[in-house]
Amino acid sequence: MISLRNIAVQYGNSAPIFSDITADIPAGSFHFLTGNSGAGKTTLLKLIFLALRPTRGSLSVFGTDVSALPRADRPAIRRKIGVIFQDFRLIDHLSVYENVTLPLRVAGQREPDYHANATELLNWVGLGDHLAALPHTLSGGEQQRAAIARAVISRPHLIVADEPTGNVDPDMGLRLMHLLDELNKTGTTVLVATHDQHIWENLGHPRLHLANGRMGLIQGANRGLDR
Amino acid sequence: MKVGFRSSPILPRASLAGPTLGAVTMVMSFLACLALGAAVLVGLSSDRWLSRATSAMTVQILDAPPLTAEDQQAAVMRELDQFPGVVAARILDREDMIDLLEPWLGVGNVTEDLPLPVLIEITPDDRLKANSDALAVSLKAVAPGAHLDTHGRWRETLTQTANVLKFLAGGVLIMVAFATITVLIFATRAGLLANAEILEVLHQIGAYDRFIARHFEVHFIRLTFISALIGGLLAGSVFALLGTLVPDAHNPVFFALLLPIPFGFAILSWIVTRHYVLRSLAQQV
Repeated sequence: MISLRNIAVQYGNSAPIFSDITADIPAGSFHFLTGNSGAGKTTLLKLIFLALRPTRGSLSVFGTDVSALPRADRPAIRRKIGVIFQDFRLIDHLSVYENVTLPLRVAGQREPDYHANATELLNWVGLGDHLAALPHTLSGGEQQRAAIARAVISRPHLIVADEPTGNVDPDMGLRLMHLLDELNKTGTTVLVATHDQHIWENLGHPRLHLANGRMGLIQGANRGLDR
Repeated sequence: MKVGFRSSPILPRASLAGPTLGAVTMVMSFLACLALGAAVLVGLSSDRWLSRATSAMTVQILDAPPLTAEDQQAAVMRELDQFPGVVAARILDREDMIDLLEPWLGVGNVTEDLPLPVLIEITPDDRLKANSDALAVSLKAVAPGAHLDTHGRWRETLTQTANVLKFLAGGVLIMVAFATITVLIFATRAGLLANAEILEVLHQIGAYDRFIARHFEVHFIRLTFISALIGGLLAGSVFALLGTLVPDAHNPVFFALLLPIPFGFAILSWIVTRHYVLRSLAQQV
């Protein structure tokens, strides 16, 4: 699914954020990505959802080497990845329904073709009564659920979430994690960057831990440090 | 919930160029229509004047001592009768001469003692138009005081003047296009900056650059076309008001020639916006 080989990222002449990251994330897995602030969690996620290119090394997503993938070929890969941002990134002037269905609109699908599925999904995430609402009228939890719905509506193979519980209360955060867990059970690969120990301990999934420009795999459910 | 069905523009209209670009485009279209219209009117008028000028030649006979103008008149008419290409030749009488002179000297100021040359108006065919020098030589041979006027110098001046005016109009059109392109680039750049966060989201959910460019194109094409159409209508009104002074400005064909201007602005807008957006996006990851 995702294969990182000797990945290094460096901005200009500054110190490298990563010097040598090697890891594999199998299809259908659920991993947490942990590390202190500034360890490079967001940078690593950006590499994986193709918002950044590595300075060195090889990155393969869905079997395609995306390190030097031409720009014109990147959208096709991105359409298979659902991204949940910490700050939601909902578009202010679009309704919840329009925000959530935006990936389908971008993919050229017609509204009547996806209306039923979109409505069902919004009902599932508890936003069935807020289809016409603008994002700023929603609570933090509702915005987060709208962001998750947007990330999953096109049935992506991979969901990448960057601190998805950062802006919601702990209970809501845990519920969102269970939502992602449910999606993982349907076969979707999930990678969640978080610094919330309570979350990763509760779900027990393995975590990729970033520290000092390197990454190690820590198995969940008290299976200990593998590497 | 019906409201869920609507499809709002992905890029908010308020974040893209609006009244400013519209106003500038309207003024540019107005100027373009004035310039093009002026060039067309000059072209139509000069063509008509030239057509009239080449449809006639004039022989002027002056005294050539010891011969008077009248002495030479018969020889000139004989030569014209037999010269190939002369369709008709008519001696202008005194009343015709006075009509010609009155615009310059005023009514009643052409006195009986004012010496007037003999003028013969010739209707030439195409052969003679191409061979007028030979006629001039033949006439000089039989009448030393005869001078053939093909209006060539006047025609040349008129043609040059018309060409200069057309050239200036072309220059104005180029300047208008250049200014419009510049304004469109600034407006597109501002739109890209104002919508940077939305574009980031669009890219992240798999939008191709063409998809994003199309949203800019649609907005700018609509805005520039409507604005240019208003500018064109204003310019058309100006020409319509000039109608009595410039009869050609009432010609439907003339207005039809102004019609492409708004479409030209829309096409220009499409090309500039598409090129600039695609080029800007290509510089991203």
